[in-house]
Amino acid sequence: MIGIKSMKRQANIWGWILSIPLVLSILTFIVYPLTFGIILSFTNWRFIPTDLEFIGFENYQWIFREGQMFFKGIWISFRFAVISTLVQTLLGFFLAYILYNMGRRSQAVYKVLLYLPVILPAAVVSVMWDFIYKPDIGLIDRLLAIVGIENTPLWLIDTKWQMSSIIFTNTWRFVGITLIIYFVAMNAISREIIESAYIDGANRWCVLWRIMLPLTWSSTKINILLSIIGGMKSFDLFYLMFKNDPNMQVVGLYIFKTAFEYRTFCRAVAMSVLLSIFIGGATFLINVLMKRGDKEV
Amino acid sequence: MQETGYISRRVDRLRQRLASMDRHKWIKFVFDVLIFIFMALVTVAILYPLLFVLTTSFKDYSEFLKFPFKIMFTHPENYATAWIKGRFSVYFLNSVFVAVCAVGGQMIMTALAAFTIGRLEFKGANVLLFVMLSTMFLTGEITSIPMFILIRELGFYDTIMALIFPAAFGAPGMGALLASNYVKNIPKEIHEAAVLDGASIPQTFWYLDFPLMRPILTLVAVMCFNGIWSDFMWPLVALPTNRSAWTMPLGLITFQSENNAQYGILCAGLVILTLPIVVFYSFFSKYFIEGVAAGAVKG
Repeated sequence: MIGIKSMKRQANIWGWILSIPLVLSILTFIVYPLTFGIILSFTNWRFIPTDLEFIGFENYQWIFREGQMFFKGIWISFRFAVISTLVQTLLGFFLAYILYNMGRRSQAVYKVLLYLPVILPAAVVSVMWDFIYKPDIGLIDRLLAIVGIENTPLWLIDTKWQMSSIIFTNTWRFVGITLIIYFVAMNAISREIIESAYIDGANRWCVLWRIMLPLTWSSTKINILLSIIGGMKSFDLFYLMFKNDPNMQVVGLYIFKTAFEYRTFCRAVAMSVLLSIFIGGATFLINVLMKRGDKEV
Repeated sequence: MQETGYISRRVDRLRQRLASMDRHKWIKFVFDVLIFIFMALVTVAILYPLLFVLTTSFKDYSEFLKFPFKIMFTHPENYATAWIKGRFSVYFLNSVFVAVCAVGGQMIMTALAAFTIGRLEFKGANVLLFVMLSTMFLTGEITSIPMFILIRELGFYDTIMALIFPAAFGAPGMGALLASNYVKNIPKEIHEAAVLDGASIPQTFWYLDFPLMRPILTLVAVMCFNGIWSDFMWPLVALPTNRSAWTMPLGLITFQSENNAQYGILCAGLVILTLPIVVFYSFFSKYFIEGVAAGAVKG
């Protein structure tokens, strides 16, 4: 007979044996890069192994002394993240509620359609929208010409419009995620609550504000967190569409260039550490602020 | 004559219905119409850019300038031109090869992680899970720069192994979390019965849990495939010059800079890169959508 204790011990032994590949992978792809990266940020290493020298906080001091581009990048990323989070969350919430009130068939169709842009590779999105924003012959200018609007700005170059353009594209790309997260949360609310509200004379607008919004508050939190973190980290669309535009050097792009174009890896790692601290702080702050909102509801 | 009589009768009936509506119903009616228009606009905004690219891919330059909105299929040879000029056959095979290796490796890693963390619940399981998930809050560069150095040390720099090695053996953070929760929900009784019948732990893994995990492993595979197929930053860092090892996204970017004025051919290139993923999506859309929902609830 096998006792519970020996079963437990066997489970432990086999657990360790079977997770050897996993542990190796964690060591190689998480623990090693992380510790090595943080150590690197305190050195002046530049590709020559013998040249390694510990220089303390020099890299960090350099950022605060001469890294205006880094802080400008953080500011651009931050603006991008906040505005696109607002737009995306609001739009996603309303779309999810409209979907919620639809028939089952149209729900299924719309879910698949609105999520489609999310799966497209960044390279496709950027090349496609670069083509759509093209002056005069792109889709946007053609459509505006039909309505009679001529002399349109250069969407991706004009400093007044480029941020709006990229936010539009970004929303087009990611609103599907927000929508699905809200939609799942709305369907998890028991139908009885909503039906009883209707019987008490509430209309859809009322249900939206008084029931849906408070009861999907945790999804709002997740959506805001996902899109703020994603926005602060955003790199690929900016690299592909604004690589050499000084007004659109988001922090991810600047760190990438510091590392792989200027070849100053140690500074780039130090910047990454600072950015991660910034993102962690923002995440914590949003969590605290939204917990307070939770209590008020 | 009969026609107009019919129409005027319908209009009368609509007018009567509108007249009989009280204020509340009126508001609701207007609202429904507004929502309908809004949804129609959103649908067009989401889909029309894709269709515009698709129709443009069949036109030559002058046709595109003259009839931008017309649907016509006069120049299917754009695809052949794009395929040859963009050297997509090489990039396509590379992409498929990397994605298949990555999915294979990740399936094994995720299955093992789910079994050991979710089923055996051995001492230290939660530490592994925590370490894997904590990386989600870090920016990519912290780990990608040391990874770049490691790849160089291993001699994988500028070869296709630089893509396969991290993609196939990387730690499956989100997938491990989802799959181990899935395994925890499989009733323990089946497992205990198997052990009492004399099955060893590896046998229970192979004959019981692995087949039962199939749905969640499909989800992980689908998400992994999409991530690898779309990835752009890592190939850019790890394969700067070796064109014979490039994957589709890098190929497309170079193709764009070479064909920036040949809209038909450029759009054909876009379709070539997008089509496999859209076909894939049309089969597995359920898993994509489940994946984002499950990930968000747990995270």
